[in-house]
Amino acid sequence: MARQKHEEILDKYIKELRHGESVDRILERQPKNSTLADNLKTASLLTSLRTKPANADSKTVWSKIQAGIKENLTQEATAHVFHLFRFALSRATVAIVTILVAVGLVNATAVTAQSSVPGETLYPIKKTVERIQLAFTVDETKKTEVRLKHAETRLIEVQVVAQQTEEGQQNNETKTAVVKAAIGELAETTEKIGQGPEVKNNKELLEKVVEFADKQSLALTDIAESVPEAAEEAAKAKDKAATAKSEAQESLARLSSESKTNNGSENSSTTTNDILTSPTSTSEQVRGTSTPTTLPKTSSSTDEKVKKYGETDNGTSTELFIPEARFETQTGGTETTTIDVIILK
Amino acid sequence: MAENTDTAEQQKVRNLVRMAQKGDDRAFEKLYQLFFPRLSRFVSYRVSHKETTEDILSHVFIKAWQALQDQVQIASFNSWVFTVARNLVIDHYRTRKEFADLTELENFIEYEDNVIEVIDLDIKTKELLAAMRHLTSDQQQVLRLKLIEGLDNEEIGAIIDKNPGTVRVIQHRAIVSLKKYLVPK
Repeated sequence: MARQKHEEILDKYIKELRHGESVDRILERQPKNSTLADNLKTASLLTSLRTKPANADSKTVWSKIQAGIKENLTQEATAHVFHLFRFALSRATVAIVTILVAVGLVNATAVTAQSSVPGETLYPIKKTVERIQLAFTVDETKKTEVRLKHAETRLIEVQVVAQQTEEGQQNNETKTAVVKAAIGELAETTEKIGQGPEVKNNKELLEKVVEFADKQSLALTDIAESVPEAAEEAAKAKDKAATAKSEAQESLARLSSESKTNNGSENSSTTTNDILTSPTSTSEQVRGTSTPTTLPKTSSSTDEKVKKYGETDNGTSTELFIPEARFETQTGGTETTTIDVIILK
Repeated sequence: MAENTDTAEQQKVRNLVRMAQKGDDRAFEKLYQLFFPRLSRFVSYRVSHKETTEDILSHVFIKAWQALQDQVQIASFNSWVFTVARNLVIDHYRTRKEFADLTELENFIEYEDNVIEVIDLDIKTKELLAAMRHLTSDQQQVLRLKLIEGLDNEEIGAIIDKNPGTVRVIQHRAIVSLKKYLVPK
């Protein structure tokens, strides 16, 4: 009993020691107990060895975080690949790829199934690859352009899915679910475009947004007709597109009136170069990209491949993507699917 | 749940978490900036080595990012990150070699270049380390983790697989033992 008391008291005082109290101050409050005093003094010999905590550097930590996130994403893609390969490729091929990875010749593999649509097995891979594209794009303006490109892909997917439904390639239960899912993806991706603050000041981007919103509205109107069960979702998505459009138009109007007051003559259709060469007396800076970026084009043809996974600003370009290979695979039925394999290093 | 009793700060965090779950990178970065100072203090109090602290901190946020990605339902982001941080600190100590060899501690004190105050390995310290060699492995661990590294009894218990009450007992015995072995002044 007494011993337990000793332990507790000692523990309590050690806690105070650690919080910076001096031995003498702590012992003042106690009736004289030489054993306790000696114990505490002994403990303080060790606590005095304690160094001041070194401050972690926030920027260093942030770059470690970025690296870790990219690692996670590529691992995800690799997992997808192997999961797929197990079904699609022969055992020999899987064995070869596994050996290559184990030996370290291939650090990661990503499969793009650019022609895939919601509801298909390869679709999640496509989404993961898109996330990788975003993660590897550092420049905020380019990031927004990439998001816009993704949204355009969503629009194509929606149309493809709706068409498949019409032609009866999907069965009744899943067809509307898939169309609704595709519309949902479209709405979500459209929302993300507006995330960067650069959007509001970038004329070219804003015009692209307006154009895209128009295309979207047209497509969604058609789909509401051809797949009436999904009419509600289509209407909601249309509203979102309309909001995005009007916001973009507002920003465009504001930009053009600002540069009119400073400029005198501003024509409404400009290329990126025009933005840069306009007189410098504007108080509002109109930012734009200095070179037109070549973004990978998406199309529903399986012949298109992704060429580049984005650039970094500061010259230390992580250029990924070395060889491409095409694998002809045999899926369950009598069809062959072509999978484009891109090897990331 | 108790949204109306949240402070403005908590509401802000809640919103950022929601946005980050949808894939908003900026929201994630803001969360990082919000929590970094406190988490940094938390971890560096427990881990004296700067680079290790930075590694652990980055892992906390990588895990956070993944959890947000996976749409894990987190009731309180604040509690969650600190729990993750605490566990990572515990894991760090668990995976290190058994601290039976005190030369590691000696090296640390002498050569650690993150040390702000340079501590000379004076005679007294050498005596102290020599005396510590007489303690059991558990005793050495407890004293080191508690008095030098700054962990609490629960954390130490998780590292050496003992319950916190036992840790306290070990601590007491270790100090009494150490006292005996120290050269009387």
